[in-house]
Amino acid sequence: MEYYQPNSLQEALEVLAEKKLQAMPVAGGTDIVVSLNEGTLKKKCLVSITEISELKGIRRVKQMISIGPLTTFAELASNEDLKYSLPILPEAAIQAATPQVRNMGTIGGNLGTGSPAGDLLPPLLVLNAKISVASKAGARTLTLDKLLLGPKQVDVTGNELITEIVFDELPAVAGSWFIKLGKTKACAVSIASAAAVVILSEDGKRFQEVRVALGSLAPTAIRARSIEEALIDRPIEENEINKVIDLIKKDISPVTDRRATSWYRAEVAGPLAKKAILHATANALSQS
Amino acid sequence: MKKRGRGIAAAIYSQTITNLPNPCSVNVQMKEDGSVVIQTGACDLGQGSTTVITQMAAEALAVEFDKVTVHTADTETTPFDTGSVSSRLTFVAGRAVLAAIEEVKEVLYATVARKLRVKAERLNIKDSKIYYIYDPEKYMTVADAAFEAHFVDRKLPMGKGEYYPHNIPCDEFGQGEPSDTYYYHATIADVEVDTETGEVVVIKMYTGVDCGRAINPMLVEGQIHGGAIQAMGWALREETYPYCTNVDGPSENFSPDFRVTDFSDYGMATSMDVPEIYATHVEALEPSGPFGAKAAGEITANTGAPAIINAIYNAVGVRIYDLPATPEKILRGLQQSK
Repeated sequence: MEYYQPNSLQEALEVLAEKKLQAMPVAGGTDIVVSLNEGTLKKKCLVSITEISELKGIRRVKQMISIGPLTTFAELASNEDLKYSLPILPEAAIQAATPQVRNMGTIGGNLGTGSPAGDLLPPLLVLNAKISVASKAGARTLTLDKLLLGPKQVDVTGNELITEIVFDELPAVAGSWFIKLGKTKACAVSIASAAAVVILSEDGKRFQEVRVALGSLAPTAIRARSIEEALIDRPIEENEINKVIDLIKKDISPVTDRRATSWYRAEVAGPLAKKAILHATANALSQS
Repeated sequence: MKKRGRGIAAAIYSQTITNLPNPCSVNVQMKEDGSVVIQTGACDLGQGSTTVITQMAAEALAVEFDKVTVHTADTETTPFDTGSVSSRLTFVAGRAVLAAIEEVKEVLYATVARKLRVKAERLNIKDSKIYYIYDPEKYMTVADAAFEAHFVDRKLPMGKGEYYPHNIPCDEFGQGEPSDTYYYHATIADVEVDTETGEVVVIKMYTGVDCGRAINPMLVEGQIHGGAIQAMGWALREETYPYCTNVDGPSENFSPDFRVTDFSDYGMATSMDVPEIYATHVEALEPSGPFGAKAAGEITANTGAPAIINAIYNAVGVRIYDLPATPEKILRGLQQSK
């Protein structure tokens, strides 16, 4: 297998273009090394992008937060700014895998792999994240829900690289939360997960906007639009959530795998989403 | 909603291999400087049997711990042992070591008796000295005695010991005495069950073993902790169908395609899953055991699972009959009991 280590984005995109879909970009390698070991990676060369400084770092631009795709889970989990302003991302990052994998695995890799169980995907969905991708031919930006096409299928072609993840800061009266159900409390691929962003009305008594995203409950991480719509303008009470939570079954299409059955996933989707919404609401109230 | 419950379970367990002969043999030699070399097939696979054998030999020969060297589990040079199985080594290897040391002491006592002009049966050994029991000021150090035995009396302080655990194989009606002795264990588990997801969190485990004399209390505590964590994984998570080709798993739509063949989904407890464990041991001395010791091995994993299952029943009224008690089984049970 051939191996390249370009030092700039331009150089990397040129290698990818030249190799005509036979190249695989690799950052932390926490997914790719597994597929190399299993012999399932059908590519002729690896392009290590770890030395490309343009793809690193967490920046704040006005009301926007920009995250470089090479940012590791460990960096997300320990970023002081995010911990204070947007704890949902550090929360999701710290619950993923193990310390060793968090030190290597990157947010760009989590997106590029596009597993329905990817721990950062539900939080990024509720943050309405936009993903920039680039190839030698040019750049484009798409929303995350458009990026995720199916299980481990994403709208990034073989000659493209993810270059940036951007989302707006949350308004002042908003809260967020991520909750994950795994077989163990660490080192687990999620059986189901839920992320929520809650924006309260000015008087702090109603939901102005609720965003809910679910992991491992459909072919991709998804937004639970039925619940989101049903909760707009409803009072912030557990009973109100109970009334609408069964709508979640319209949004999900869980499968049976070795971690859980589809029956179990369908049963816990509602309770998980409810817990995420309630925690996010509590966070919003504690901020106002 | 989260509900809490408490469960208890106790067990009796055989130590030494049941129904079958399972000897251990040991060579012990005291060298001319009073240091001790032991050879035995008894294999330390991490549980600390070599430490325990060293402690017992040092105690029985009244020498310091670091004077004793144990060579184990080299089939080319060490005498036979059946294996590090059935919680048998402290008891069986301990008995064999003490038997060998009796022969070593016989040689040393003969030398000291000659030197001090007393009868060998009126000697005792303590604090690196062999002394006359009616006048402890009359003594020889163990090292001097060993030297004197080697080069004056021309007798080497060597011994061989063996121990065959006593058992009477069970007959066709299941009647017999399967094991030499038995040991005991109990666990109390406190759990919290999430009634919406069926998840179980073990909050505390109080767990104790009757191991006779705890030759090394820290190793005993280590065994209890390890056993508790193993039992918890077994009770709640660990599950595998690695070799089946046509087996329906834990639920009706579980297909062999989802066989767990590696550790990533096996579900062994991580340090994040481990509860507070309060370990204790009871020293009911065993008359036939070396220094009154019995075992402290496998049984420590035996009562954790039933205690947790009982605690789940106590918390939410769901009785689980097949392990592991996965969140899915508990949730199904909760829905059926509605």
